[in-house]
Amino acid sequence: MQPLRVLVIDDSPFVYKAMKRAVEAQGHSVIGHAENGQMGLELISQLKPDIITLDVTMPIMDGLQVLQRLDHEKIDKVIMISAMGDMELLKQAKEYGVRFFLNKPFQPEDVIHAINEILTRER
Amino acid sequence: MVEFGEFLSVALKDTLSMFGLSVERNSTIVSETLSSSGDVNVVIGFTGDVRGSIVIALPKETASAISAIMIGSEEINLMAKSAFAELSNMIAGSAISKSPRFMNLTPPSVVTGENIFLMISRVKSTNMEFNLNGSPLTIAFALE
Amino acid sequence: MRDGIYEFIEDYLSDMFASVTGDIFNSTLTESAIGLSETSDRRFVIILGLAGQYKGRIILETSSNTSDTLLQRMNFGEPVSTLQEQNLFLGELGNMVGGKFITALNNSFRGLELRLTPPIVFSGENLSVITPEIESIVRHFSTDCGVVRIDIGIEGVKPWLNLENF
Repeated sequence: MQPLRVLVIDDSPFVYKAMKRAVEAQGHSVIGHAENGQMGLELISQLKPDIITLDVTMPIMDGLQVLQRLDHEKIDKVIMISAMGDMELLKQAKEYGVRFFLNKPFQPEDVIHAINEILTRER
Repeated sequence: MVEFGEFLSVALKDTLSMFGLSVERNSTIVSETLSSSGDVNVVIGFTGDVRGSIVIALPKETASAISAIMIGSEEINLMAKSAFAELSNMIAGSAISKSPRFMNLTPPSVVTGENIFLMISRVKSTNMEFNLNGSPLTIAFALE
Repeated sequence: MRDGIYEFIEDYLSDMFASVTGDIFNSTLTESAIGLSETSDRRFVIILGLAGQYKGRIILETSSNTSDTLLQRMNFGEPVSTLQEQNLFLGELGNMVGGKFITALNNSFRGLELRLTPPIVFSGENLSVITPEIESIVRHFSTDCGVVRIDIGIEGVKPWLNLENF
C-alpha cells in the first residue's frame, strides 16, 4: 500500500503525538500539525494531504467551522476527533458529510481502521 | 459504584494505550473516606444525576515515567502537568460516557507538593490500585 | 473566562467575598496587596469545582496558622487537632462559601446555572494547584484570622448579563 500523507488538525500536542504514533506504525506519515482551524485550512491547501484528522473543539476556528469551508472531496478525507459528549457537534459534522469519527481515547487500531475505510471508498 | 470503577479502569487502559503505555490492575479497596497523598494528584469533580469526585494519584516515579513518554522529559513541569490533566480528562470523560447516568465534569486540577494530605469526603470511596511497569498509580472515586 | 463574568467578578469579588464570609470573620475584610508569604510552611487549600454548561473552580488558600485560627472559631473555641477533622471542617466551610458564591453568580447571570461539586481539601508544603486552560482571577483578603487567597476561574458559553445588586 502506498504510504499516505496525514495532516493532523488538533490543539492538543498529546493527541497529535498519539495520532502520529498510530499513523507511523502503519507506515504512513504525518506531514503537518495545525493547532487551530485557520492554520488547518492553510495547511490543507498547501500540503494537499490524503487524510485529515480534525478535532471538534479548538481555539480561533473549530472543527465545524473548518468543515463549512471545505469542499466535498476534502470532507471525504476527514476523520473527526471528538471528546465524549460532543453529540450535538457530531450530528452537525455528519450533516456536513463527515463519515468517519473517533472518540477520545482512541486506539491505534481505530485510526488504521478509519484510514482503511477511507481508502476503500476512494476506489 | 462497582460499575463506575470498571468504566474508569477500562478508560485508564484505553487512554494510556494511546501512548503505548499499559497498566495492570492490582487491588481495589473500599474506604470510608476519599483521601490521597500522591506527589501528583489530579482531581476532577462531577455533578448531574450523581455528584462525586475522582482523584488520580501518582508518586513521583510514575509521574516521571508518564512525563518521559508524553513530553520527552522526566521533569514534572507545566507541560507535564498539562499532559496529566489531559490524560485525566480523557479517562474521566470516557468513564462517564459509558455510564447510563448523566454527569458533567469540572476541569481537571493538578495538585503537587510535599507531604500532601488530600481528603474529599466522608462518603464511601473506592480506591483502585494499578501499576505501570512496577510504578504505582491509584484512581480513587466517591459518588454521593 | 467569558466576557461579562470576568468583569463582574473583577468588580464585585470584594463585596461577594465579604458577603459570603460575613458570618465567619469578625472584622471588615479588606483586599490585601500582600499575598500569602512565600515560605514552605504548610498551607491549606480548598478546591470547589464548578460543572454544568459552564465549568471551572473556586480555590481558597490559607496558611496553616490562619486555618488553625479559623477552625478553632468554627469549633466554638476548641482547636481542631487531627488532619482528618481539619479537612472535614474545611470541606464544610468550602460547601458553604461555594454555595453562596454560585448563588450570587447564578442570580446575576441568566442561564449560568453553575453547580458545585464536592469540596476537595488538602494541605501540604510547596503546594501548587494548576487548572490548565482556565483563566482565573486571583485576589487576597485580609481577615481577622489572616490572609485568605481566592482564585476563581470559569469557562463556558457567553451568558446574558443580568446584573442585580448585592
